[in-house]
Parts: sequence; structure tokens; C-alpha cells
Amino acid sequence: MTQKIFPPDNQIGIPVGGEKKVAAGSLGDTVMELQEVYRKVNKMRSTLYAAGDVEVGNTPHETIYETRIYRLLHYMPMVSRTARTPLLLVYALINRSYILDLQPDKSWIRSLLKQGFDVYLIDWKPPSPVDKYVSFDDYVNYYIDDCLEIVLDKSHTEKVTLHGYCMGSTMSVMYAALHEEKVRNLATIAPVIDSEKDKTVLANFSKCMDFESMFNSLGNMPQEQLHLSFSALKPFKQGLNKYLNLIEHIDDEDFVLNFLRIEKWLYDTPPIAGETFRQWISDIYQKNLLINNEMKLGGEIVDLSKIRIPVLNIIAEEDHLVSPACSASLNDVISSRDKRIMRFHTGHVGLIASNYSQNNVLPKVGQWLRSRSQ
Amino acid sequence: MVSEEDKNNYESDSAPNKAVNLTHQEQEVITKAYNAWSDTLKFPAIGPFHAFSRDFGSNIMELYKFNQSLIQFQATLADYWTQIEKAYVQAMNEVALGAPEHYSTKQDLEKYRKLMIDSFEKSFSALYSSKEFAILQSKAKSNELELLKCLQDNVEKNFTLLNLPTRKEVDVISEDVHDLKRQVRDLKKKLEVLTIDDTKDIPT
Repeated sequence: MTQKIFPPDNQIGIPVGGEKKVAAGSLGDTVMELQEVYRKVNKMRSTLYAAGDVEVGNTPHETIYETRIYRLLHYMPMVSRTARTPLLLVYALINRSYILDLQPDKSWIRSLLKQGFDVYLIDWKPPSPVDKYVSFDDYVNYYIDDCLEIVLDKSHTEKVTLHGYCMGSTMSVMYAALHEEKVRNLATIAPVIDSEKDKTVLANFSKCMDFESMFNSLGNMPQEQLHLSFSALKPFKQGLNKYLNLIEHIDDEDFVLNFLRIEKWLYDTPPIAGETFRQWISDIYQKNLLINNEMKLGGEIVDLSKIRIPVLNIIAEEDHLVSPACSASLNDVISSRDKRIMRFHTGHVGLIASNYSQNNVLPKVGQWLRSRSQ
Repeated sequence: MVSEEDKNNYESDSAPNKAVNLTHQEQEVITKAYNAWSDTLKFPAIGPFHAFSRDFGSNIMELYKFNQSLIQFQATLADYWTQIEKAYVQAMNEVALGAPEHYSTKQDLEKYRKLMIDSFEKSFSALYSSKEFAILQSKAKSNELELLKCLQDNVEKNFTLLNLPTRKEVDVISEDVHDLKRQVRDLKKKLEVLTIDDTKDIPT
């Protein structure tokens, strides 16, 4: 694996020992520096080609149920006695769920396991063209509900803690509003709730998007289109500067592997089912139905004021994908007495897959969950 | 006074009028010839060609629509690139104003790099956050999709020649299958509830 990602210099067309031929002096120094840059750029190119081979999602787990749309994973407990209430993680429909288990020292899931939780994860599969009509109603009332029933059955309990990330948080909120009797706690990470308060570039594009033409001509929302939108987010600081940083640190194996894991995740973008995407853009971003309790799933109104269970809303202050104010609105409309917002000075991904997250976010989240999971 | 040359010109100009004033017999011959060719084209052996000639009018209309969409797309793209160029020029101006005078040390180069990234980030983030650009981008995408739709309609029409199901037909089936799956799942759930209720009724 390491050999594939870090090939020796002589295998990627880099002259080995070439610098010895350059004469000494200031011009010689410049040429030597240029030669070094050339070596690093070439190494970066070959390293990036191998990004797909980098390993992610290593925490031991088993697939306990699988359909064409999703896999339900159960992670092996890391303590002898886990909390009584199992925790069901609902991942987003954008990119892949292994961001929650990126690498052992930056794994959201591993940390929860170490803190004594019994963790399950819904890993959404890429929809095929025939899944064009799969909607939020299917995801929330059918797929999440099915998974939840399996978890309840397997863990011999009556309720679970529902824990969503990003779009998965929004779906978890919808589920909790419709089926509160099966949910003990709701923990959301950066949910999209009140799009009027969302001032991000993504929200700006979404509010003007011609989703009907997309649905009619493309069916499912293709990954290229999603990449196009994401590339407009911090286009130079993240789009260009990160590669310049990579060139500088190309010989630092840990830095490169970390970079590749994130890079792999960023470009691992499956399409989104057409009808779901249409609802996401139309109902949530353009009409802002969710916060106004006007969104309907399967003919039933999603009334957020019906949520009375304990709710933890985890927000990143520097989130450039979902504005903090957009997520924070959840706590204003639910009826829960036990509700809390935790704010952290980090970004959307840094919130779940970073050293900061391991040291500052997860201990507090674990503490909140533990006291409500016995 | 009309000269001899003008007279010749006049006769030459009026030649098409002569052609229009066909005799009844001439018109009949032309109609028969046209019908004979039309019937010939309907022979099964030349079937696809017949299908094409039958759809000639609509194909022309599609081509017209395609060209219209293409022109619209180009116009929108021109506006789109104007905005991108404006943001680019604005960023370059900022870079030019803030750039160090000499690049003698590594710190100078580092400073230049930071300035460049920050200036471009600021300029393009402002552009992408503007409503004007979002509308323009959406319009460009709609134009592109309109072009795609023209191509899809044209290809789909020809699918019938190959006796293949069209995208619309597959779409209808997908929707039906999706509805059926939901119905089956609902029925299963109801059946489970009924089974549980029945079990409860059994005396122990």
C-alpha cells in the first residue's frame, strides 16, 4: 500500500542525484531549488493518482442488513459493557460515510465506541438511474425506519439515540418529528433547518437553481454537478492552496496520508436520487418549508414542534457549507425542555474528522450522550 | 422608351412566373411523380428512410429549437465569462498593488503567494456569493440542459426505429416499480400488525 502511494523517486521520472551536476553559486542554487520543486511536483502528481488506494473506514464492523439503497453497519464494541441505548448514525446523501471513520486517530465512530456506545451506521449506497423517484419520504419513513427497527430488535431495547451528520441530521430531525416514540435522544451535527439564515455559497446557488430541468433531463443529480458546486466553496484557499501545501510537505508521510484520505472523500461523491434532490432544493432551500412546519413526507406534515425528546445540536462556527444560524434555528422551534447547542471554532469537516474534534468536540458530545443513554 | 437589352432582361426576370403558371396537365404530372416517389419511400425495405422523411418537418423544427438554445447558451456564457473576468481582473489589481517590490528572500515569495491566494479568494467568493452570479449560473445550466433535452428528444425519436424502449417509457416503469415497492412494504407492515393482533387473541 505505502509503496503504491509513495513510489521511489526513480520510478516517477525524477532524476536521482541530478543536483550534483549543477555548478555552485547563486544561479546554481536557484537551479537546484527548481530541481527540488520539480521533484516534489512530480511526486505530488503520482501520489494524487494513488489517492483512491488509501485505506479508510478501518474500525471493525459487520454489515447486518443490506439493500440496493443502503447498508446497515454495526461496529464492534470496544468496552465490555456498552450504554443501554444504542446509537444509530445517519450519514448524509452527499459523499461517503467513511469520513466518520477516516483514520484511527481521527475517527468519530471509534471515539464513540471507546466512550462506551453501541454504534450502528446507515451507509447510503449510490442510487442507480432507476431510483430517480426515491424521495425523502422513502429515506425517512422507510429506510431509516427499517434500520431503526433492526437496531431495536438486535439490541432488545425500545428506543435509540438518533445521531445525524449534515443532510443526515436534517433527515434525523424529520424522523424524530414523525416517529418520536422510537427515539430517546436526538444529536445533530450541522443540520440544514432554516435556509433563510443560510448565507453560504451553496445556499446561494441552491436558491436560484432550476431543479425541474435537472430532474427532467438528468434524473439523478450527477456527481459532476455536485463537484461544480463544491469547487466554488473557498476556491483558492482550499482549491489551490491545499495543493501548494501538499507540495511543501510531500515528503512527510503522515501529512500526505491524511491529505489523501480527505481528498479521496472529497471526490467520492455519489449522485443523489432525483426526487430527493428536487425536494432538498425546492422544499428546504427555496421554500424553506421545514422550519415553517410546512414540509410534507408521505402526506404527513413534518411538525418540528412535536419534538420533545432531549436534543443536542452540534455546530461549527466556521462552517462554510451550512451557516451556523441555519442549524441553530432547530432549537428555537422544537418543544424539548432538554435541548442544547454546542458551538465549536472549526469547520464542517474539522468538526468530525480532526485532532480538534477528538480533543474538544467528542469528549463533550460523549458526556452529553452518556448521561442520557443509560 | 424601353431598349432591346431591357426587354431581354425583363423576359429573363419573368421566367419564374412562367414556371408558376403551370397548365393543369403539368400540375397533374408533377403530383403523380411526387406521389409515386412518396409511395416508393414507404417500401418496408427503405423503412427507416421513410420514417425520417415522415418526420422531416418535426426534425427541422427540432434543429431550429436546438440552434435557438445554442445561441441562448452562448449569450449566457458570454455574460458568465464577463463576470468571471471581472473578478479575475479585480483580484489581479489587488495583487499588483500589494505585491512586494523585490523578491530577494523566500519570505517575499511567501508573502506574494499569500497575497495572491487571499486576493483571489476574496474576489471570487464575493462573486459566488452574489445573487446576480447565482442567477446567471442557473441560467447557463438551464440553457445547457435545454440543449441536452433537444438531443435527448431527437435520439429518443430514433429509438423507435430500433424497437427499443425510450427513456420516457423506462421512466414510467421506474415510477411504477417505485410505487409498487412502497405498496408492498406498506402491505407487509400491515400484515405484521395483523399477525401480532391475531397472536394476542389466541387464548393461552
